[in-house]
Amino acid sequence: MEGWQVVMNKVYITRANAITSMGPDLDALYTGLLENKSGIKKALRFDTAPFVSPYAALIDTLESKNKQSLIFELANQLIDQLPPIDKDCLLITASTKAGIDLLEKKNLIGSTISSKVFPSSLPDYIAQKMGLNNRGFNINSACASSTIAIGKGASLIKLGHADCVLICCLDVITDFTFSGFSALRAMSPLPALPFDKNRQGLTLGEGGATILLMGEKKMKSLNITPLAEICSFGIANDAAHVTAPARDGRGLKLAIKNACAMADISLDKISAFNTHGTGTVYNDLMEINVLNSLFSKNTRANSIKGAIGHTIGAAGGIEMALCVKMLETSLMPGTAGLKDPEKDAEHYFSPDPQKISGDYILTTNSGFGGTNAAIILKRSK
Amino acid sequence: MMSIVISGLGWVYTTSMGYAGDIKVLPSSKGLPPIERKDIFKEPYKPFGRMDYFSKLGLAAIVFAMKDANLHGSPHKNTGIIASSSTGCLETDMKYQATLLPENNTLPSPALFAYTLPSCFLGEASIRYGLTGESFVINETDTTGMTGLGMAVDLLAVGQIDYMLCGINNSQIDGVYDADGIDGIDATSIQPGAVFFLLEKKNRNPGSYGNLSKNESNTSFYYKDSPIKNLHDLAQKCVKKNI
Repeated sequence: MEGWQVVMNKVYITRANAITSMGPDLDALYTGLLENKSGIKKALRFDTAPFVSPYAALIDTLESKNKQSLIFELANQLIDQLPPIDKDCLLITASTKAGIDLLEKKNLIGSTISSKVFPSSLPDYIAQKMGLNNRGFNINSACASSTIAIGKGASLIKLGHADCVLICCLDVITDFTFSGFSALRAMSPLPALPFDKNRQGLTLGEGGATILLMGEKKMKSLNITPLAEICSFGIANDAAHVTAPARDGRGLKLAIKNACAMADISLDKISAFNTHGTGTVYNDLMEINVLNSLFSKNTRANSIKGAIGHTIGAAGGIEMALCVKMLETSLMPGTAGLKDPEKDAEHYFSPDPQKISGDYILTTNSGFGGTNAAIILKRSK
Repeated sequence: MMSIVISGLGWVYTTSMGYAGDIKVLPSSKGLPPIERKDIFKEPYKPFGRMDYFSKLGLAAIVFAMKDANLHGSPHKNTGIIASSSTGCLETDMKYQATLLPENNTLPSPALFAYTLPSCFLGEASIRYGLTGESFVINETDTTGMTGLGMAVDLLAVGQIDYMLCGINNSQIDGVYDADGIDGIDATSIQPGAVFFLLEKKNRNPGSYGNLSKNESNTSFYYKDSPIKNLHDLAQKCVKKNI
């Protein structure tokens, strides 16, 4: 390996947006969270009677047109809000099930299926719609898909392989996913209560985010002011269980430590932590374990999934966009629904917005397959 | 140029499965083979029975690559896996979707639903070998596997990882697929099967296949100075015959 010259360029977020059940953009989400609003309601899109819960956080304006998958309608809404993007910008999408609802719209036996059901059709569709010079690719690593996609996009810029990367993160809720999480008994019968003693599981949500990354040179050439710097990232596997987190949080701890090592900062520099916080018993216990193992009780933490549900593969992108707002305002939204914090969580979480200090914020996601991803974001000066 | 060593290779195709030291030739025109536990593990391995075919397919190719690289026996923590796939676990998705049809009068299966995430087989491999590096699936319209290969080489280059498993996993897709308004994917062009490579920095394994290199702009890859188009092509070049 002698002679390898590895460059490490700085990577900046120059635009961040999110469409969620709280509204059509990032401001609607951030303001709604600060005002303790919730996007969780009884779902009317499909029959929830056979399932554990009637609740979901769905986007009111999302409707299937001409037997189109909802994912492409959501992609259209995200694209419509983007400014003109350089045609050479690399596209990465993050989605777990992309256009899976197309299976629901066809008789499976003996009929023609849209090729849009293939997961790679999502980046292909977005790239064509935007007229990009590449067809992009999708990253799938369960609920950590977006966080890993952003990390990989940042890596391509850090190493000098790209100077502009657009990350589109999106997942929608259909009969397919709703029935599955219900069957897994991961779903709460009532709206999710992350980190609360009375939590009973997650509430599913849908949403999308766009995160535009640029290298310093590209950004300066376009005279763009950065929103935040992607300081570093870490990704690790629990190697413990396919559908449950390692109770000691070993994979998440390793991902966070790797991110700190890449950023060359100590853990005490991180004053704010946007957790995955699904509201399931075991996920939240695992994260409380990690918080108490690695961080001081002065660290502020939150979860937004009690307000917009668990947006699966899009969660990391939406939370990344929100972290940009948190750094900009030094104010972290509260943990929606929290009334009686779980033991050892009370120091970190609050139902009300919390002031944050320092220059760094950590955001993490974990998922099936034992995957964990962490990104450290730095305030842009 | 960045250069790393290919020290293991395993595959499951319609024509053969295994690794250079143990190749099982399959009857022709039968599609992808059934994969039994005894094909990949001598010892009983309880989780194997619950897996879907897509997971068994990918896991088998990974196990063969680990055996080929002489890494099968013990845990190898600082190892990551990047898998490319055009199909994802669509076959499993269809089976799960069928359980939702009212006429089938069945309940959605939680065990089947868990495998409708195409990255789950990476979790299975990580558990089997204690791999704690990063693991994810890349879905590309044309599954060359080269995007994942570039990322794997980069991870070794920056010293974040000791070993990388990198490959392609595509199940056999039957049915008729409409382009449906986009260039999309040509389902007939997808090569069914799985192939994985074990990559590392140093030439540790005496049976290694030699060097793989890429240019600094991340656009061209070479195996022993010969350009490669995709990971299937690379596998043929490594074993020097049709597999």
